[in-house]
Amino acid sequence: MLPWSHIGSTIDLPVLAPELQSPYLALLLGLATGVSYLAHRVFVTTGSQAYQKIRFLVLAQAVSAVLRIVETKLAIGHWPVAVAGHSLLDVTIVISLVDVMRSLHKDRQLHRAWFGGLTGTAFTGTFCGLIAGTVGDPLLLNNAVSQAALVLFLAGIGWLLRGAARRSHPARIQNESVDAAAPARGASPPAGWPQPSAADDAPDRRRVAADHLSRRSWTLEKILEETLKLNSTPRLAELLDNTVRAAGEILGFHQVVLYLKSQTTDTFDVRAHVGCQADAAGGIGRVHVTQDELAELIHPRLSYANSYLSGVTHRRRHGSPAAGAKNPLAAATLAGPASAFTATEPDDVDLTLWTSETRLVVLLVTRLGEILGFLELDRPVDGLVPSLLDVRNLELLANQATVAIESAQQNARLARDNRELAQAAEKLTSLEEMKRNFVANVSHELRTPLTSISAYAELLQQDAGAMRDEVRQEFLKVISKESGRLTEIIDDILELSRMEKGRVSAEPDHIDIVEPTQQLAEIWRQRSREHSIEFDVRIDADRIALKFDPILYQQLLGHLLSNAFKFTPDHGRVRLILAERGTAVKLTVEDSGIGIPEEEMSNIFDRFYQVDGSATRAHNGQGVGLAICQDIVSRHDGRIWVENVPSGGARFTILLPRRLPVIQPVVNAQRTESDNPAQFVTRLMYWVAGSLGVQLAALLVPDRHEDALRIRAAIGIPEDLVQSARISKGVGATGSAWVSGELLHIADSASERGGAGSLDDLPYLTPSVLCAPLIAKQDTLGVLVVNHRIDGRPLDEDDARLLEALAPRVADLMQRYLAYEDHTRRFAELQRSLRATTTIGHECRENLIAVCRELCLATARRLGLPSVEIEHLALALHFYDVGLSRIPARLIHKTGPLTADERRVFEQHVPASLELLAPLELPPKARQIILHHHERYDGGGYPDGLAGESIPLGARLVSLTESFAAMLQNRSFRSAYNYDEAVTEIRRQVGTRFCPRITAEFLAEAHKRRTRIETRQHGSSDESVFVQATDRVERTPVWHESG
Amino acid sequence: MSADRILIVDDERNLVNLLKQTFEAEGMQVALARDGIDCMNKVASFRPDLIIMDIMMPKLDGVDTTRLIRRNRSYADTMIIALSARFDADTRERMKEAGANVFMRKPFSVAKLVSRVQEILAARSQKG
Repeated sequence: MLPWSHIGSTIDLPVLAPELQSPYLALLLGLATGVSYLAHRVFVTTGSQAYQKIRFLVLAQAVSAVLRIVETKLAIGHWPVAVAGHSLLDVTIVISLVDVMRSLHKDRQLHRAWFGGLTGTAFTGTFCGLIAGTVGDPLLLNNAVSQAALVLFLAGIGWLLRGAARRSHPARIQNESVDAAAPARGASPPAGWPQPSAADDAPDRRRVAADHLSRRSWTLEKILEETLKLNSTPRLAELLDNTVRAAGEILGFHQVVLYLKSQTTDTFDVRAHVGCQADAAGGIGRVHVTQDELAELIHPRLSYANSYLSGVTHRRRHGSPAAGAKNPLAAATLAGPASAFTATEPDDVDLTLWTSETRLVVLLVTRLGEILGFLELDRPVDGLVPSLLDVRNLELLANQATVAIESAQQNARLARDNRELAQAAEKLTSLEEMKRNFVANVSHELRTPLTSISAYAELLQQDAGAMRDEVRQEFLKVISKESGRLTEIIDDILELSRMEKGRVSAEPDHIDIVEPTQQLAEIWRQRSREHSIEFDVRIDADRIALKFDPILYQQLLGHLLSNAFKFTPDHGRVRLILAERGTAVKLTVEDSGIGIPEEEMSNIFDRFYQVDGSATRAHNGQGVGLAICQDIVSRHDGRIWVENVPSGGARFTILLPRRLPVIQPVVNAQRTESDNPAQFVTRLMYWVAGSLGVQLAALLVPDRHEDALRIRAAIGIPEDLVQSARISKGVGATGSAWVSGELLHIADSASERGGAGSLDDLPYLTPSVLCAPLIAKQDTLGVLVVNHRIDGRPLDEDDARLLEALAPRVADLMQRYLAYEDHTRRFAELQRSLRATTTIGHECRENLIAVCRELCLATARRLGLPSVEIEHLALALHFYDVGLSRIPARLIHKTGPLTADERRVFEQHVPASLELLAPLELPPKARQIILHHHERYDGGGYPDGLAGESIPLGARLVSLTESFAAMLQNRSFRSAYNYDEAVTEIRRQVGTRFCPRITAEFLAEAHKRRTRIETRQHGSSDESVFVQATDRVERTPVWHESG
Repeated sequence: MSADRILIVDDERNLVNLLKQTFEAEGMQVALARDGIDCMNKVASFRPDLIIMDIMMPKLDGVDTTRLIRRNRSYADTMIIALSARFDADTRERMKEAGANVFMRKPFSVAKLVSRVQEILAARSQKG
């Protein structure tokens, strides 16, 4: 093709004048060198961008064509120098073309464009040649036309390349529209190209496009890689962390939060996150997302690919806005499968900026269509909404992650099951071993005395004749002693096995344990005398009721005493102490023997059950008694333990609950705030009932009208009665306790008829009742009533003492609860007010206060406040003095002037307001208004003593409005001003209290509403206590000073 | 030939007394130990030819005591008769491994024990 384009240079035509030859040749060589250098720059330095190459070729070819036309005209083409110059140009162009061909080869689309261009050029060339043939001067024409055709061809390729590049890189090319057709315009070569903007811009765009391509393949590769990693991560926590990390890294998001469906509740909980600020990590958005909230997030109108994009107003440049409706997920069934792709095409270019409200939610949906959880993505690296393609990539990752998470959850479940099985198996093995050990230990125990018996018997038999009498006596004594020991052991073992078998045979009954204790102690006293052992028995009650199997109690104590005496040497000491301790009975048996070696302590009660294989014996001769004791005690829900007494000897202690823990759950009532407050008082009742062992416990508090008591919480009382019961103060037991403020104990109401002894209407099950008033800081909060002991016995002095001890604690907890409740209620009120505010102007009630509010807002508008600030003002107008609810009523209603101290207390209502309002998260401007509306124009106000213009305008307005409204209303210490009086009073305080500028505007607005104000002034009853109170404090000094 | 020295290790006082009398009547020197630790001390001071070892004892049991004795080469030719009321296969195996020469069950026949002890001592002196 190239030779074809130079034919003209070899033909002789008119000769260039000699004096012009040298400069021309120099120019030609210079140009050729320049183009070669450019070629070097373009091809070597800037890499191999197809665009640049083509552009260069067009340029080089254009230069070449111009030169040839000149040469042809001047007939210098055959000169050696000219030939050399052209050869240089041609070689450069050929090299460039080869390179372009090579890079085109890699891209099929570009390749096609190339051949299209080639065909077009060949056609154009032939056509031009034909024309040249018909017009004279064929060489000139041929040369010119063929060169032009080549340029056209190359330009055509450039244009096609650009189009192809655009098609393959739809997204993330900013300023796409700029100069899209520039290469096409290059058809007229020198004119189209030199535009600097196009020349500078194009390589960048191409690089971006190429980057995008490589990024895409990188993304896919990474997804594949991460998928493999995810699938080989067995631990769920690690897997989730990896998922969020991979999603963030691959798709370019700073913040990714993964929510998983909770196993227990119906919510989605944050299980992994990346990129959340450290301090925000505690409250990463919604820590729990309910099903409803999720439905909101994945509303069909938000659908974006198979995911959901919210917080974006203008989403697609082209692409059907109704695409979402076609989405199969549009049905928004939470269990619906997210399978089919939408019809939206990837060239749905999206260049929307990501804002702070924008959220991308990608669901994790199992193959069965269950929503396992979702990913919430925020803060993209490039600040743009990702393209559909990117989102699909993300979905690909999410799908893989879902599979991995599902299997990890399955694994975790299996592992847990396995662990449980293993534990069960281990337990079985251990039981088996215990049994084997038991047999071995028992037989050893039996054989030991038997060994002595048989040995002595053998010798007796052998040497019967020869043996001296005293030796024989000695032998017989040993035999009899060992036989006794054998019998004892056999008894123990039989007893133990009986207990093993009859785990349920114990029949606890309410018994008095003092008497059997004393009886048993008497028996052992005999022995103590024989061995000169000091036996000290201390029982600190005449009667201790305990639910216990009577036979087992005797066994228990018998074993303990026998053990103690066995180890106490002569002249030693054994001590038995039986005492009540709290709601339990404590039994202590102490000896002065050798004590128990430290290493034996842990297994001393498991004599026959030691599984460590050690054949070390505990104390010689120690029977199975302690094992039996342990069994008896645990069967009665008690505890037994042993310790060594510092002075020598062992002390066994048994703690037995006086009453069985029937009431469940006995809760730790201290955990209040974290739990559901509604159940708190009920749980408190359970706690009281559990502590006292009663079945009926009720808390009565004054009802709304303060003249009767109602049941606040109760157990053991039917629900309908809880709702309806009212007990007048001072009537019956409960009412009396309320009035007297002292604990009332009715041992038996049947014998104490009349007066405080008579019962009230509560459904008492037994005739004995305890009523304890709850007093916290001198305030009586309510009355605690208990009745019906679980054991059916009357409530005794012990119970009274216990309840007396419990009452202050209950009162304290109640007070804390009431404070909490109060706070909750106040918050609800605030919320209601907020709702009212939003409807201001729509259903503004026509009362004086409302008119004043309207007046205030109108003044603000008149003053040209921006609408946002007017909104803030409207908010503040509703809330500015809520803090007064924290100020004691006596201050608010006080008629005389306040003392300095009282004033200080009173001024605290401003910070209190802000504190109360904190949960509403009012805008800062509104908070400023609330903070400063008690400032005075002359700087004499509070809390900061601001003056003049430094007081926020809104605050000045509120101050004015509030004062004006207050003046128009009746007060306990004065009657209301009429309109004119109020205006005069306001005017009087301009410059000291009120801002002159706004006062003028305010009064002007007020004047327009005069009639309405005057109509409402007497008819309205909406006298806000806040306005009343502030009026009192604000005005008092002024009033009295100016008097 | 000096009298054979026998160490009886057991925490059953009655039984130990009886055995002491019996062996002394046979012309042997007898020492007693209450438990494993006591036994180790007596082994060093008394240098017995033969030890009658109980297994279930306080502090250190017969198995561990035997093992300790056998660890010392100088007691390699001290004969050890395990005498225990606990003779399940496991215990016997462990005692054998620890290095006891003979295992005898409790209760036992005194005459048989004496003859067994004499047999063992005779075999030992022949070998020595």
